[in-house]
Formats: sequence, C-alpha cells, structure tokens
Amino acid sequence: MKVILTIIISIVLVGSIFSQPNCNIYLWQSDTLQYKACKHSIKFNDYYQFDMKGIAVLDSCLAICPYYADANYEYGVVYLKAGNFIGWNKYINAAVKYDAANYLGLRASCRGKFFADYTGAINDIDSLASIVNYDIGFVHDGTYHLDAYKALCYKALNKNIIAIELFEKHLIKNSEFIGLFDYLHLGVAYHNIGNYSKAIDCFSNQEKINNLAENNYYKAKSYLKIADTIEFDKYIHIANELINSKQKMIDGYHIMEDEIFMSDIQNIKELADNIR
Amino acid sequence: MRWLEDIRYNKSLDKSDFKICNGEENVKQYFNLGDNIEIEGDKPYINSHFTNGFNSEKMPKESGLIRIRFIVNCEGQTDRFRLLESDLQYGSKKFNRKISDTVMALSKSLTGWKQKINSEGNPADYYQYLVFRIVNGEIIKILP
Repeated sequence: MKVILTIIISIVLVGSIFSQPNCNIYLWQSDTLQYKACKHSIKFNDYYQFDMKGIAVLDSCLAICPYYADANYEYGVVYLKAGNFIGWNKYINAAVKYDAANYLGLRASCRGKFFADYTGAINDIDSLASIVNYDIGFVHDGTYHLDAYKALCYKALNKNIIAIELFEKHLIKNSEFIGLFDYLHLGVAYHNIGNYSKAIDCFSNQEKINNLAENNYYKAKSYLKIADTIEFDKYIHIANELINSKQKMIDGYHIMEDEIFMSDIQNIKELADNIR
Repeated sequence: MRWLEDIRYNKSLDKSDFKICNGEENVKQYFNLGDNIEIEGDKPYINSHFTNGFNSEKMPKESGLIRIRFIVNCEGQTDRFRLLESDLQYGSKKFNRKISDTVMALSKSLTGWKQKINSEGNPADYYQYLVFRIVNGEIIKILP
C-alpha cells in the first residue's frame, strides 16, 4: 500500500528556517563570519516578520556576513509576502548565489506561486536537479514534490502533454511522496487534452487521497463532456455539498491552481441545463 | 516606518477622509487574517472585472509585472493605492501609462471587499495586493 504524504499546508509560513539554526556547522567549516551572522539571526524570531526591528536584525546579519544565505532568504520572504517582486528578487537571488542547493527549489516554487513565473520555476528546478545527487525535495510550503510542481508549471503554461508525462513519471518515481492534489491536477491535464476516461480515473484516485469539491467538480465536468448527465448530476451535487462545507482547496496566501468557487459550480449547472 | 512596506498617508495621492479604524499601527497583512482574498464573487469576479475593463491590445514591448497594493479598512473601503512595476525578469520597467493607469483605475473600482476579523474579534484594517502578469500588453494572470 502506498504511503501517502499528508502535509497540512494552509498555515505553513513561507519562511521559518530561523527557528532552530545550527550555527555550529559554520564553526566546523571555520567560517566565523557566517557563525556570527547565524547567531545574531536568532534575534529575528523575537519580532513579527514585517517589523522593522526584525528587519534591522537582518541588516545587521548581512553587515556581518553578506554571503549568509539564510538572512538573504528571510529578507526576501518579507518582500515576497507583500507581493514586492523587486525586493524579493534581489534577496532570493543572493540566497541562491550563496547556497544554490538549498534555495533553488524555494525560488522555483515562489516564482510560480506568487508571480506566475512558470518558466523561471521550471528552469530553477532543472538547475537544482543538475547540481544535487539526492532527492530534489519539496516546494516552499511542502504542498508538492518539486517533480510534481514542475509538471504543474507545464500545465499552467498549457503544455498539458508534457505535464501529463511528468506527473505520471513522478507518481511512479516518488510513490511515497504523492501530494494532496497531484491526481487532481493530472486529471485536469487529461481533461484539457480531451482524454475524459483517464481524467475520471484520476479524479477517483484523488477522491481516495483527499476528497474535495474540486475533484468532484472536474469529474462532473468530464462526465458532461461525454454526455453522461446522470453522473454529472451526481458529482456536481457532491461538489456543491463539499464547497458548502468548505472542503475545498485553500491556501492562506493565494488562489491555487485548479481551485474552484461557488460561481464555477453555478455556471456549469446552467451550461448543463442548456444542453439537456 | 513600523513595518516593511507600510503605506503612509500621502495627501497628494490619498483620500483625506479614508478612515483607518484601528490605528495606523494595527493595519495587518491580508494573510494574517484568515483566507487569502476575501471579496464578493471571489477571484472569478476580479478576473471578469479586469477582463471586461482592460482593453487588451497587442503591445509587444509591454511585458512585465504590476503590483497594486492598498489598504482595505474595517468597513471594506479601499485607499492608499500604490503601484510597483518590473519587467518579466524582475528588473526596472515603466509600463505605457495606458496600461498602468487602467490597471490602477480598475483596482480602485473593485467593490465588495469583505471584513476580516482581528484577534480581538473586531473588523480589521489590512493590506491587500494584486499582482498582474502582463505579456505583450495583455493581462495573462492576476495573483495572488
């Protein structure tokens, strides 16, 4: 039986790496500047992330050691959360410059999720894969394995066939790291290319892992495409029930890929009524 | 400045009668107060508002990102709108005013912002932003 990775995502903050930094690692590397910056950075935890007093701590860290990647990353995260792509880009690029293995994956998913820079995200994931010989890991909030996120980026670029290939490969290669929404997105990609039977299979798999209004909505949509109005009615009803009980995709920062709203359900019901 | 990215009142840009209900020091970030965007009609309303109001025309050199950041007060009213622009590589860029002015005007005309509740149980004032990904003069994605 497959082990399904369950990750609670809605309350995970983007930046939390300062919680327990092991500063001694820099001493072992005889890098006293990074050690001092690391020790100083612990004070950042005393403040709300946007607080200028906390920002002053980060400024001090970078004055001590400009190449301390963690402080650059944390600085960038504050700008990221305010949607400031210029500030974020400056600091995340510095973090990647000084510690590519740790920060390329984080830059990738933030580029995609916050700024719809899917090409930039794919390039970062490929760069990461080319420099490490271990599993490339997960996106910044743990929602997706980076292999799945790369597939999702291709889907967002409307390259559904590539997305399907990558998703299928990911489901085999990373069978113990199947995410909470992987089958949903794969199903939507199949739907987009007109393979409704494969799409319905995926939505059924999604139902077993994490049953949401979304997989039932898209399942209904696929049934409507093959003119099975009985199954359409069944699954759109379930979608309606689930969305009313808030059993749907949700993220604290942004609207997710393939997330639906009540108006989507109402619109497709009207469409179905017009077809009948 | 109290918090990074605070938007202070500017008499040449902002309404003098825009009320911050809980004090300038208590304006929160949208994501600190529950769900992400809370507006009547949800994201589909925002998308259709800009689709209907933005006169897309091919403008090959007009690609990049625009952020409009603003405050939603405790009554769901908005003000303190500020604009940030970049090219698609996050570098410096000034969009054709026809684009940036329209995006700003449409952002200001969004209605139905919902109240978000703070930890004291009262309607909060909060910072919200919209990011527009624009390629060749057309809005291809609105975030968050």
